[in-house]
Amino acid sequence: MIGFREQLGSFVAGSRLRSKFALFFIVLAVAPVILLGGIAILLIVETHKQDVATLETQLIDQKIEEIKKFFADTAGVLDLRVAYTQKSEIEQSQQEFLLQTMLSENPAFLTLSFANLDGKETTKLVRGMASDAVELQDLSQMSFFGRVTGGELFMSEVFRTPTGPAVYMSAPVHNRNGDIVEVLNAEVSIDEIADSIQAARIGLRGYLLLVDKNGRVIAGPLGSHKISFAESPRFRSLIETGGYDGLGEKDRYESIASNTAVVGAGKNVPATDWLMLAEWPIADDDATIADVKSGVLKVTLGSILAVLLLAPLFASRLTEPIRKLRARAKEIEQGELDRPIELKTGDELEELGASFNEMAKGLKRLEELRKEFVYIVTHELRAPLTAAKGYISLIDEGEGGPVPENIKTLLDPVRQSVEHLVVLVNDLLDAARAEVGKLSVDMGNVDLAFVARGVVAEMRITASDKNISVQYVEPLDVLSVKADPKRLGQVLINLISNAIKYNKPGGYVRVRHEATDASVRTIIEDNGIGMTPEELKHTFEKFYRVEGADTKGVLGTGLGLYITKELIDKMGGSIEVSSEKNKGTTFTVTLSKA
Amino acid sequence: MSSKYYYVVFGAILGACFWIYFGISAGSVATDQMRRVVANPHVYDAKQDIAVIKLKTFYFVPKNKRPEPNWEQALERALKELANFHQSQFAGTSIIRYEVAATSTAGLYDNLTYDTQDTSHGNPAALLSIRDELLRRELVKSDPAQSDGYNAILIIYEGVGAAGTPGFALLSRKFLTDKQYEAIVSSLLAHEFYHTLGMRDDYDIEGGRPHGFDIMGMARTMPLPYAFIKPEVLKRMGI
Repeated sequence: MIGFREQLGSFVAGSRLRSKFALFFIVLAVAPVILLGGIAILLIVETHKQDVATLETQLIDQKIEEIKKFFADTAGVLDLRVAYTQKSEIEQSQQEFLLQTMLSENPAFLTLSFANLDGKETTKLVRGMASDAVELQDLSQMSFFGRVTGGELFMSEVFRTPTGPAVYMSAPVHNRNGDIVEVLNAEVSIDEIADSIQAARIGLRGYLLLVDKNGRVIAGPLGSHKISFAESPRFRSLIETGGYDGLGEKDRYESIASNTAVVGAGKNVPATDWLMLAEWPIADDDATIADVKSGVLKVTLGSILAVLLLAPLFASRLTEPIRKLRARAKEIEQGELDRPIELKTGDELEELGASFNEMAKGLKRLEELRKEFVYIVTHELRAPLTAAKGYISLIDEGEGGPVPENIKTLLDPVRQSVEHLVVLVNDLLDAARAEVGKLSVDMGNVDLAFVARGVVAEMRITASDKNISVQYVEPLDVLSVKADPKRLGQVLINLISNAIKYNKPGGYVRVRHEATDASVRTIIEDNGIGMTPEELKHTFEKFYRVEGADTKGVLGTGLGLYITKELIDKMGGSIEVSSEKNKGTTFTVTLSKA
Repeated sequence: MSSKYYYVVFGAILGACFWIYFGISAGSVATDQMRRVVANPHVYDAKQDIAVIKLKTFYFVPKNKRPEPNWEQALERALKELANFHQSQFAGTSIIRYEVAATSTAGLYDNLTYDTQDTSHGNPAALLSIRDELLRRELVKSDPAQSDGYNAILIIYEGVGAAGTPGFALLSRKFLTDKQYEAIVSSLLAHEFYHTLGMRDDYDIEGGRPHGFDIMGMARTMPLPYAFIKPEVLKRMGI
């Protein structure tokens, strides 16, 4: 987990735009899948509920029709009408014949008997029993008998015999006038109904139950007859309400018939006190929904995985050109104008890359023009300035005749200005040469101390005007370095000159050397005004000069340190600077030993 | 963009997947609907447990009578049918384990001692006197506590009679062997047996007119496959 967090963090930190793109890809790819998948499942659940309820109620209705037909047929057989008009019993032999015929043609009948209106059975047949062994009964004490003789068709509650469920039915026998002359009784096996209900299936494990009003199971799956629904609140409400359709919230319940959660529907069976229940285990019923959910989940996870793998790739393809453009912009900023950027994206980014290249070409032309201009201008300026300086010196030396003091006084500022211009032009020329790579050095083995000594002696004159001491720590040994002696002198002049310029009266400038095995360091330190860290950053930049109250009046071109660094680099050395405001500055020049 | 957005997005996706799989369903399941009633079979309107009924059967022959041959097969058949019937009616919660005394049991007295003047109504006098003799002779034990299962005695009597009382029943051997009773002997035996479990007659003692359809009423004269025990009776026996 920690490794994942680190990787994610580095992925995000690596490119903010890429991680934004990747995130958007993920959301755009996954959100529709989840949304549509969720909607699909919701719709399927709803329609599935309807389908389940419909299936259950259809099966219930079908079985109820079977029951109604069974009893209609049975009642039809028992609805006997004799052809005569007398109010007398059927003749004995006729009774036997009729019962024999009914018994043989209706396998559901277990027993059949005629009873007279006093309740005494007159003829009785029992399936599987010899007629002479059958004992005739007096039915007058049975509670149903009076109702039947009054004209009702009677059906008892279901009783469970070893051969299966059965009911006792009794019907009046009418003559042609409609008078009741006999009672016809039958014990009727309802195995046919029970078998049909037991065989009924909904889905793989759904089933039907036929239950009487006391909660006893008349027919259902094997073993269900051991269950009683009498204690069930649902069963009692079903009796009161007449049924439930499987769509209600409470139609999903724990069933005692199957000891599992089921979707149930139920109806009263008309003309009986029975109830037909359909129960479908939810696990079986919801298998289709579970399959769909599983499918949606797999597609969703697959999409997420694919997007997770592909999104960073796509995002990288988008951000890669932008990264290239950024890198190229940096190069251009640093002056690298020659290398074109290549973006083959076939879109606006490629056009942007082409525009970048055109911009770089334009900048390069401008830069070349600028350099050429500076070079030409400084070169053209140098000659007349050198001539002017020369003539001023000649005039001052009296080559053109004696020069009155007042004229000499007027010539001094002119000479200083010309000298300043000469320095400026020389610096510009050097800077221009450095930019075009034409800054030349004539390398050789140079006695460092000799050069330094000469420079120090020269600079002491300038320093003494400002009451600044220039100290030189003579080395103990000869320090021979690889350098251009003229340029080395130029570097030391520049550094010591700065140390004097940016110093206070009474300050000092100290020059010393440190030698190692391969190089010699020359350290020029002062206790002048120093620089802030911000000013330090720009020390070697072209035309950079520290601006402040303590540097007012300090003359300079801002090119000295730039040229100094270029010269040292050309001589194969290095230069470093450290400074602290109001404490002083230290420059360290390192050159290779000769 | 910090990584927290990734956590939020992935969290939302996982949450959505969780909702799809577990949250969307057709509905909750009500669990307060049904309660299975545990059957606890007992003697009718009494407490004695009848999960296992030990039925001992004696063929009792008065001193002056001879035992009828082939009585064992008929009795075995009838007892087997009774045991199956009982198991089906009690949904397997009560079973009958019967044993038949290998030989007939000779009575100490002539039949007149056991029979009374009035052998109608099933001859309960014979039942009681034979019962007492069996107890005296320690052929059966008296165990009012019924500590090792419910004990019942069935006496096949070589004489007239069909009667029953809690713990004891009597049936004439004639019902076992006479052809006219062949189809209903099991029902007759069952009827008397159920008196040992406290069930009462559901017919008119005087006239024999049934009040109900079941084995204690009309069905005692029907073949046993067509008979049943009324639900109201079973309810009062803990089923």
